[in-house]
Amino acid sequence: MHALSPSLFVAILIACLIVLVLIVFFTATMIRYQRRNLALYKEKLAAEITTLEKERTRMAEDLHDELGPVLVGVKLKLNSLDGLNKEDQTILDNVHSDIIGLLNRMQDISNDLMPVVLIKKGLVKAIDQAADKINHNSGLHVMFSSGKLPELSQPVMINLYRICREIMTNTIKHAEAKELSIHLQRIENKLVLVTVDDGKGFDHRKSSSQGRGHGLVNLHNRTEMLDGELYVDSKPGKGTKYRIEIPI
Amino acid sequence: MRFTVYDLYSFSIAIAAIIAIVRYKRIYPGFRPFLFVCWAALATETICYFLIYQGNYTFIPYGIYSIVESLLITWLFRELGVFDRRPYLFAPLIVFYLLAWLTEVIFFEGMNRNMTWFRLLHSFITVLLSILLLGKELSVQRTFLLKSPVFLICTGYLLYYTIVVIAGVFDLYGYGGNIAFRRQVQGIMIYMNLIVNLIYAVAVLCMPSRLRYSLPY
Repeated sequence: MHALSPSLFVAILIACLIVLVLIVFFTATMIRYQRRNLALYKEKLAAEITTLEKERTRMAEDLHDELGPVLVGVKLKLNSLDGLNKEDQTILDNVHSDIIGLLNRMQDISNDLMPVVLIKKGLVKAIDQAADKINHNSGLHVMFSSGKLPELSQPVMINLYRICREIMTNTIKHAEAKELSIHLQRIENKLVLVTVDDGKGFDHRKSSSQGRGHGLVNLHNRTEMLDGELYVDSKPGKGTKYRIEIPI
Repeated sequence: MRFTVYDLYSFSIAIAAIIAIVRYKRIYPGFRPFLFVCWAALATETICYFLIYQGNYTFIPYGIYSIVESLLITWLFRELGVFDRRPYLFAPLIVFYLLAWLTEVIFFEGMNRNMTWFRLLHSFITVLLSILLLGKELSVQRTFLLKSPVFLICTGYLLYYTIVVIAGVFDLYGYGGNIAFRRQVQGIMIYMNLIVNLIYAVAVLCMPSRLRYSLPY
């Protein structure tokens, strides 16, 4: 045994070194693949969201430019009818009010798909308008404030707007909150969006691991699309705070 | 008392421990178990240093450290989401460690010699949990992996505890009675300890104050 020992322990030491080299090689390979997968994932995400936004814009334009004028034309033609008896006039009035309702609803849908105010007046006005609408139509009180913002590209504006809308919708649907405050400002070379609600909160790790929370997935994907970072601070019974940091 | 280069290597955990003290309030609370491990390791190294130079054995501090370390590392893995899908596994693992440690202490004179069996068991489980966490980290981490504290910690654990498992097996067989071989293995352990302690120091430096919300891709 002792005569063989030196060669035996050299062999075992070499075996240990080989194990180490394999671990290092394995780690290096993982790093390389992670970078490659990350790049592919970001490309895929960008393609998906860009396609979605293009489709939304097209649908909003179709509604606004094609269906809208047709309905307005029908309304005008109905207005030009005369010499009707009382019964026909009642039916005509009903159809008339239905068409007005339809036009308003179409305008809402078109606006949801691609808000005109976002394109014409910018992000702050668009979020302000969305907050006002929620304040009038639901039990949630949304407070929006913003600091001085730099000029933003259209994809950044659209994605940030969608993020804010998603947070508002999630808060109404799930949070049982009375107040939601949204603050958007520039901090150094980042655009920082912070939202805080006083709702029931949730365990985001649990809901993510159980595959729930599509709203959170949307927030996450849009933040990723902008190369940003999303932080969620929420516990059951303690409200929810989102912080989104977008590099500019 | 002499302070050899090997002592210096053992005390390299002090770098991570000191950075942990300085950055403590700026580190996400989920990483705290790891900071506690660094401090416990530094305290144990210090106690053992004095015990050795007074001519005493170091079995007791190392024995206590091994159970503290295993519990803290398991807690760390829970904080970092290893048990998110199977939360019911956490408590049994803690109980299992405690029972294994007590069994070695009571029935195998664990405080009068190296706790080889317990170290072997804990190291093996830590390697498995590190691989699980590395897999998760790879799918959720968006930044450069070498800046990720989770990746660095898991790589450190993977390197160190794999060697501990191999050395533990040799130890169980008494190194075939070959003292030179034993020294060689211990030498590897010392250098590996130095390398992973430096990795841990970088990991503590990279620990963020908030954990970014990230989903697998």
